[in-house]
Amino acid sequence: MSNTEKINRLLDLYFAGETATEQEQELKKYFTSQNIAAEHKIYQQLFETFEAEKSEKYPENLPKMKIHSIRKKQFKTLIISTAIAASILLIIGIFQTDSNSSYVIINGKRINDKELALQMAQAKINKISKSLESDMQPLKNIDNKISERLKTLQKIENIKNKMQHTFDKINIEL
Amino acid sequence: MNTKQFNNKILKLADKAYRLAKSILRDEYKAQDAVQDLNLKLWEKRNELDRIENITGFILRSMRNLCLDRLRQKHIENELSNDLEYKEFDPHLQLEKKDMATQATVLINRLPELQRTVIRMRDVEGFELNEIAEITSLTENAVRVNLSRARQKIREQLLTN
Repeated sequence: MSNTEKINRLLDLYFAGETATEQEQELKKYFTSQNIAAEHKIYQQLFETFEAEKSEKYPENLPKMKIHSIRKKQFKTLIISTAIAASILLIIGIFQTDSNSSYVIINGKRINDKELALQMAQAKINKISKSLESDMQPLKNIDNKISERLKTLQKIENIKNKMQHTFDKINIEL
Repeated sequence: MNTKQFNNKILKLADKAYRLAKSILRDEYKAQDAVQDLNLKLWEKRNELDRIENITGFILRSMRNLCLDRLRQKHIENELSNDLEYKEFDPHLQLEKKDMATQATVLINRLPELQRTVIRMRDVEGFELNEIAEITSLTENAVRVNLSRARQKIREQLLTN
């Protein structure tokens, strides 16, 4: 029996699902060799595809075991960002209600000195802004699925920007 | 099972689990997501994993069940029928086809879920029929039938194209 006939027989067995492991190894070896008969070329791609798929890896850049901690971190970041957004709202709210009078209230203290009040508020805003930035950073690296959830956080960023804008306006009024 | 054992035993199977998930879901991002979810579930149950004898079989069976649940959730009934063939409606698959997938990959992806799982388990992963039977919860004979159907269908398509 020639080699071509032997391969034909093996191919028939293979496609009928009747090959043993050793016979399949022989076919794989044949189809990765340089001596493939013209009539067998049509099957070459199939065996090459199996070999190629075998080397496909789970992407290394994705977190493996640390997923749980990342989710916790993400949740924590969400809470912190929400809290920060709420504090900004509170401060802006106070400024808005008091913008026409000559004092502001920060942390329950009445401050008559405009300069000092502005400085304190500016410092607070800067701190919040930095904190928000660093909190947002890890979220940017998270995969597609999580980026959907991130849209909520991005809304907070938008709110922050709007607030910053509002604050700038108030700044001029003061 | 401590963190080190978990990393050594479970995460080294991530590649196989990923290839299986990608074959069932036919989408690399959904597959990555499914593997992450599986890892998370396994991590939470890591203390029970010591009692499992065939950890590879257990993990791949869990991976397949998780993927099948996702297909069910999406009500893609065609996916779960072993008689109906896949029609190309998934934009990711179309993209894959254009980009890099060989004709053979496309042909395998068109097979019903069970057939493409079985053919890849055998021809890509090199599992024995009894191992595939354990992963798919089928009898060895049912695995053999699905394997021959899958291969025959691919042969027909290769010869007609």
